[in-house]
Amino acid sequence: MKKRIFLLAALAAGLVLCLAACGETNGDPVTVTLWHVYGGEVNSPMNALVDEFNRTVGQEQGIRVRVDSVSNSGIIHESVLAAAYKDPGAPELPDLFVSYPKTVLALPDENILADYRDYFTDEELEGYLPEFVEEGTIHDRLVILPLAKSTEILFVNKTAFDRFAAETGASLDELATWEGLYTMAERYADWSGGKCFFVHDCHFNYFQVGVESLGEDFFDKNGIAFGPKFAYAWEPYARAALTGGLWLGSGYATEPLRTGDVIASVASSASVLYYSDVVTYEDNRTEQVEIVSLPCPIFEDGEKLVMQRGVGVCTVKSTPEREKACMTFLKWLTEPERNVDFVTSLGYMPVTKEGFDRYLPAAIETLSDPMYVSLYEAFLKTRQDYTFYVPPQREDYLNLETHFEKAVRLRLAAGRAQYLEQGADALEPLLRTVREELQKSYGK
Amino acid sequence: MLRLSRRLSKTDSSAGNRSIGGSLALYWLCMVLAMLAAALLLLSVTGVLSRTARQFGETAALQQSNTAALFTAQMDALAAQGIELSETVGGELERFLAHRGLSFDALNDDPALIAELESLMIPTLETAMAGSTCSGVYFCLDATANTTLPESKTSRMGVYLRYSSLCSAHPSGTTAYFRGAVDAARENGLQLHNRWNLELDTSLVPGYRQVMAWEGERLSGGCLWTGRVPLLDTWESVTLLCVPVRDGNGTVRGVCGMELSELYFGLSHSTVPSSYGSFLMLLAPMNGDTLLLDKAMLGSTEGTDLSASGEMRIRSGRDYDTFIWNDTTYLGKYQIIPGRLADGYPLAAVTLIPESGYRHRAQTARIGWILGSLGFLAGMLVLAAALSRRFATPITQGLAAARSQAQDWQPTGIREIDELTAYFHSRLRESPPEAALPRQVESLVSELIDRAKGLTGTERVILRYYAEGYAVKDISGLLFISVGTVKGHNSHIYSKLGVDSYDSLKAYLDVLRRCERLEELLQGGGK
Repeated sequence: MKKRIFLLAALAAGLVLCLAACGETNGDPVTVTLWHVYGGEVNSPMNALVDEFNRTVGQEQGIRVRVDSVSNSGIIHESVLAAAYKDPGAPELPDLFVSYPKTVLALPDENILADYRDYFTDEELEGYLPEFVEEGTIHDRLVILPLAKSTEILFVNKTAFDRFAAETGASLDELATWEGLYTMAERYADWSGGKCFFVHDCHFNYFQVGVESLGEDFFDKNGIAFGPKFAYAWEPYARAALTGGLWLGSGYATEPLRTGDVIASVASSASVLYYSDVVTYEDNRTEQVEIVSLPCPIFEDGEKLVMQRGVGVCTVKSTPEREKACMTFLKWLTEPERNVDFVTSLGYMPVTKEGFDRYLPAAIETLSDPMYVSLYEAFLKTRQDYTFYVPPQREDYLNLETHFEKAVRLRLAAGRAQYLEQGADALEPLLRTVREELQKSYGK
Repeated sequence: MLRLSRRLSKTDSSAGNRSIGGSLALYWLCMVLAMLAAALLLLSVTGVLSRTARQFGETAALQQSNTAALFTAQMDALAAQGIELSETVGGELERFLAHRGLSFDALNDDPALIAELESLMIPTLETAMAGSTCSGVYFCLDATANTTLPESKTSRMGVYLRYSSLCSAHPSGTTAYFRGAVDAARENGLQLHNRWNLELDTSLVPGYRQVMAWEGERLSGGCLWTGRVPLLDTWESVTLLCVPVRDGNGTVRGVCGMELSELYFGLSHSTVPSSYGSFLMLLAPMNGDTLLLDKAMLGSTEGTDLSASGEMRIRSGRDYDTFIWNDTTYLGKYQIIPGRLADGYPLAAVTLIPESGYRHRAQTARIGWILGSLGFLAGMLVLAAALSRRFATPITQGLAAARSQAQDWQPTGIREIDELTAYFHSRLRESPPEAALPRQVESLVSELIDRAKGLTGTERVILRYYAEGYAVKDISGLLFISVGTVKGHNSHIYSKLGVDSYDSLKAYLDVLRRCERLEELLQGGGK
């Protein structure tokens, strides 16, 4: 009897197990969300890579990466902070977002971010360039994984410049120094009847790197030092701005180049994606132009120093399953060869040693777009001749930058209006008073 | 006698005890229920019993009606806002031209005039954009800044504003100036889109010509939606609402409307969780039994591989419809909703889930049924076994009591058994065993005892050994004589007693033992 009961129970258990095994698991992929800056409003090479990942590795491993936002680092900074502080109407934090250290430092709690050292082996991390890993390490935790790095480059609408040069004898070589560039800006404004020659994407960077290159600390413990070298850097810059050679409008540096309002700009190498080789004029005529890239100007007496830019990617802590999916994607994305293909489509530098040494030279040779060819020539020259400057990790960095950008443009725009009203005699006093007003706004 | 009457009265008093008939009925009920459970198990394994399909159909239908209502309300609201925008733009255009004493054609080849008009219109567009559930807003008029250009036939003046950095359903991104005069943007403090252009390329707007050619009274009759189209040079794609813009004479002078970007649509229509998985929402043009995903707007597709590409075939079903896309199956419902598309296809609101989610749920339900019926079956079998044991035991006890003739037997609690036992006892008491011996048997036994008187001493000893159960071989050993000698004695015993075989002898010995007269035989016919 006992034997029979045991047999019956075994049969029943077997049946249940078979049914359970026959039943499919749900099988839905793990979806992780991403906010990035690679493409902004244009076609995004990152989105293409995400599609490729979803079709291949993602399909195999049940992971789906969904791009929820493609914008710029400033907007992502604001959105991340709004989400982290749970502002009304703020979106949920994504699983992955790109960020500068300043964003991480401004978070209410940095521990919401995963430490990549928990997911990457030492060997894997040694594959990245150590300075990039160091930049992403905040309070001894690696929270920003390098993905692509950029630097500042001088972009010139050579077609328009050649017209100007043909009449004035100007040369691109004069743009090697800030002094030369601003002098040329004044000449161009004069020649063109008041049109701007140059736009800087980030005035704060100009002063920060400029002052440091002249051997002085740009920051002090309270903020901006406003030392003598600041005044030195101010003089040619403000002169060009007041006389109309420097663009003071807000927005992307690419904007006035696209409309023909300026013909040279200093911006991130990554902005090459946003430059158009077509200029559209107000009567809807368009002109095909050649955009060339040159290393960023320096001061005549300054060190060859240039800003290192480029966000990294942060992973928000969630569930082990989602975090693992994020890491799978990031490891796939930063494989040396893929990383090089990715960065060269966007005007960035790779972040792995193998990518830099083994794949980048070959990738540059295959570039066909003249704008990209010119950019990478300038890139390599910059890497060879310049020292990269990494901004300090200050908690007030973002505030200082935002305030400075707005204040300097507004004061110079007001100064420009005064200059137009009062004439050339007002130039010298304005150079001094506008700077003093700017310093006063910082309590200096 | 006194004890017997007590037993009988005990049996009488137990007349109210359970009946064996009731117990048997209970046992059979258990067996029937067990058979029912087995049948249930069989049906569960084959899936015949599952109601998941019908329940899913009901859930999908409910969600589908919500989806359809949501899409209809959103499209209606946007159409209403588009019509209002059209009337405002038309009114401002008329005032602008009348104030300057110009005809509409004066806008052609006058970039400054166009920029002035566009600058005037921007606040109107911004207001419309802020007040609508959309990702962008635009207007374009049938004029161009430069009629001498080759592309002037399709290049039209106008302003197109859109959110450029949406990351939630609440439009909070930057307003980017996608199309329009630069001066107008700068006057209004707007940032140019990275892929800004001066004018709109109407060849990229399906339905533009239809709207421009529209002649009718009510603007609502002239509204139509484009399918989803890529936004030139960007990674986004959009669906545009096109509403005719008329001047004071009723002549259509342009088109205006709202933009729904794929990104915004995805953010505003999240998946809806259910026990079958998350429901996705789609707004797709329909061609026969096929959804054109290339032109469709998809809500959030979180947790699936679905993307807005290719076609999705529909197979109608009784409880729900099946949707097949790229070898992946989805289940759900669809419904045609009001809305005019430029290419004439009807527009369907669709609600679906990946089949895997449904199957997972169905499997869970099935396993539940199987486990339940298996448990029920096991329970019934155990109960039947327990009942059988419970009622069989008293019966065997009762029979043993009846056979033993013991006076102190205990009632079993089952009326019929106790009555039967009491009956046997009463009969035994009434007829003692001697009297009960039949007469023929009595005479046979007496004859046998008489015959035993003729046995010799050795033969009697051998007969006693037989009575005690010894065999021939044993007896030969016990008496130290050969087997042949024992067999010789045997033949004498058989002939003297009148039996013809060893088996007959054993039978006679058994009968005598039962009658308690064996000793008489062994002592040679007397006690």
